[in-house]
Amino acid sequence: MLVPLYGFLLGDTLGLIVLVQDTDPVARIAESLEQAACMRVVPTGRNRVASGGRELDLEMTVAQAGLAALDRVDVYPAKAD
Amino acid sequence: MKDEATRSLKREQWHDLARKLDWGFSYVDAKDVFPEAMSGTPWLSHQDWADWDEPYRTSYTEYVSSQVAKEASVNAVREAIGRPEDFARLERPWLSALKLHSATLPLAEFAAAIGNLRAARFGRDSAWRTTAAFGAMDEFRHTQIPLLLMHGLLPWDPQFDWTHKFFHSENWVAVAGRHLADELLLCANPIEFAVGTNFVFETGFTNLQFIGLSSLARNTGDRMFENMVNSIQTDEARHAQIGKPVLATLVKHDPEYAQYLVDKWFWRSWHFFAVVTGFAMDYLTPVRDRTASFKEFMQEWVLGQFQASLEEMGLKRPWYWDTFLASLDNYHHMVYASAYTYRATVWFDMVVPGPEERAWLREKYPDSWPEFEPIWDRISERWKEVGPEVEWHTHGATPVGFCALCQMVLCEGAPGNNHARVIRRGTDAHIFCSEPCQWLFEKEPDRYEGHKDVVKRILAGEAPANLLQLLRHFGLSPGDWGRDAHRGHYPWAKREAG
Amino acid sequence: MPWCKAEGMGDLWEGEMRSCKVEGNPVLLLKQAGRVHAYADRCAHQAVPMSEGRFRDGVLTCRAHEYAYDAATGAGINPGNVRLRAYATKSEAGEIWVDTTRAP
Repeated sequence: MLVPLYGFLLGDTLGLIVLVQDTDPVARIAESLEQAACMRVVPTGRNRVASGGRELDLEMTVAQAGLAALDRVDVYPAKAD
Repeated sequence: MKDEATRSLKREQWHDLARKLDWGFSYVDAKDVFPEAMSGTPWLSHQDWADWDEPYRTSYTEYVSSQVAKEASVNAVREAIGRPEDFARLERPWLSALKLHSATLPLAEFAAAIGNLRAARFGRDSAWRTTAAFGAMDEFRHTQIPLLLMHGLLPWDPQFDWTHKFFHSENWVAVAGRHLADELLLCANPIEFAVGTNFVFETGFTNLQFIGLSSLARNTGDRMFENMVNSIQTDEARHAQIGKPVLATLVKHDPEYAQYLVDKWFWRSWHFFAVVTGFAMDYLTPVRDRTASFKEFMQEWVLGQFQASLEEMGLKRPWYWDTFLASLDNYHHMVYASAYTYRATVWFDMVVPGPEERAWLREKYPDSWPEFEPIWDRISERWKEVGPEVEWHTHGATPVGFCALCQMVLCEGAPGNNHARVIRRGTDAHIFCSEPCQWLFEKEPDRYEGHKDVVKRILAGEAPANLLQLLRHFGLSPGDWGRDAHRGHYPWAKREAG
Repeated sequence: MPWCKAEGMGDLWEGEMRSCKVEGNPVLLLKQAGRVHAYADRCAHQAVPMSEGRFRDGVLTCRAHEYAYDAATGAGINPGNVRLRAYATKSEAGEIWVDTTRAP
């Protein structure tokens, strides 16, 4: 099932619509959002994803992460190792 | 006075007798003549409105003769400098400021004629009704002058078609504009109209556009725009003065509601002017012609005077004042960068701030601008990668989110901290760009929740998701959609030889 | 030093108005019926400089919203409940002097 989300990439100027399947991994949200915002924000390819104040496991599916249509998700660069 | 001999009485000798023509009703109740649904809340006896006073006096004779003189003067300027070749001399980004103003204001003024006419019938005091009738005639004039002037430019530049077309389109900015204008101008009762339009929008904000931007127009050499808006502004004091005496009575009888209306319309007016005036002053006016930043104009024309007016009325600053002050540093920069990278969705061309403009912005917005530097670095780099004329490399294709209240893009906060928030009511999700927008929605959810923003229209299959199809849905075609004002031909974007 | 010379204003004509700076304050000078009048150069309504408006038939009119004042007194004609801040003036040796700390 297609899940539309409001995506916010740190450093960007607006919220974008991210369309993912509920079977997609959470990491897909970060990839889509970075790609959608690439004319304003340099993609890093290494990100964290959070929603509702909790960080999500990138390998979990969108459904497993409990995301519902039109939730807000935030994408941040991963901390340097 | 030269015509004293030809007049039997001067206006000040008879006007006070004529301007108050209220009478008691014998075979109907006052509430039938002025139903609360039409006249507004709270419903008070006429006695409570009887000392309603408009300090700036006008008789109908004076109104007509002064308006005729103003029309003659606008026409003279039009004949002298209103041809396309006069506009072709102006800088391209400035022409975009003109297109932005011309699309968003004239038909909103027409809607304001309706609001004034409702007050001319249902306002609770005769002097108020007469002043509102003059106001309605003013607003017709404010609609027709720009429609006439911009119509002459259509064969030269099809983007000027949006002067008339804008409010009739499904363009996302028009959806936001109608959401505001419908509530404020077409649907508000005379009390809410007086507070929202006359007191907040006109007294508080229009000077930004009509005095601030007009002075920049003079610097850029656009004497037509300067004359047009100055002529419009001279009408403003007469009908804008309706606001204060209505608000004073409201404060006396229902101070909480008075404060709510001020808070509501200040926030909504802020978002409108941040885009229309903010873009024009900080991005579209050539940097050498700028005398002050949008923020400085706001501080001069809105903050000081508006706060003084509130104090005089016994009202407080809106509860979200700190949020507003932060927004003053960020919001229009957030929207501009977003809109630049979606410029084909609007009807005017946009410009990348180059090194000189960015130095100016850094100086004017020392606290917030550093966060915008990486964004403009990135956009500039993308132009350098492909060279001029390749618009799509710096253009987004993914649908963007819209606020369920103001219908604008989700741009409140700063690049490092976007303030958008989602709430759920029943099965519906609503996203807001900011806390004040959420607060307004939750104050009157029945009023707002039936309205579908562009994303909800897409999800419901009422608007296309594909960008090119969406542009058509927005009323745009390759002939008039927005591009880079210089088509990417920037001196700083030239690639190194070899 | 309350009295300050209004530089370059000695040649003000009858029926003319001009703005100048006195001690850093924008001042409007005008000459009517042989007398020089000085006012703070800001409309009581929204502080737009009166010098950008009109001075005709003894009436000063603001360019922004057409607030009208009696040029000889600064009293509001329309609306009647406002006035311009008036300053004391004197003419000496062909020069105009203004005291922005004193009313006329």
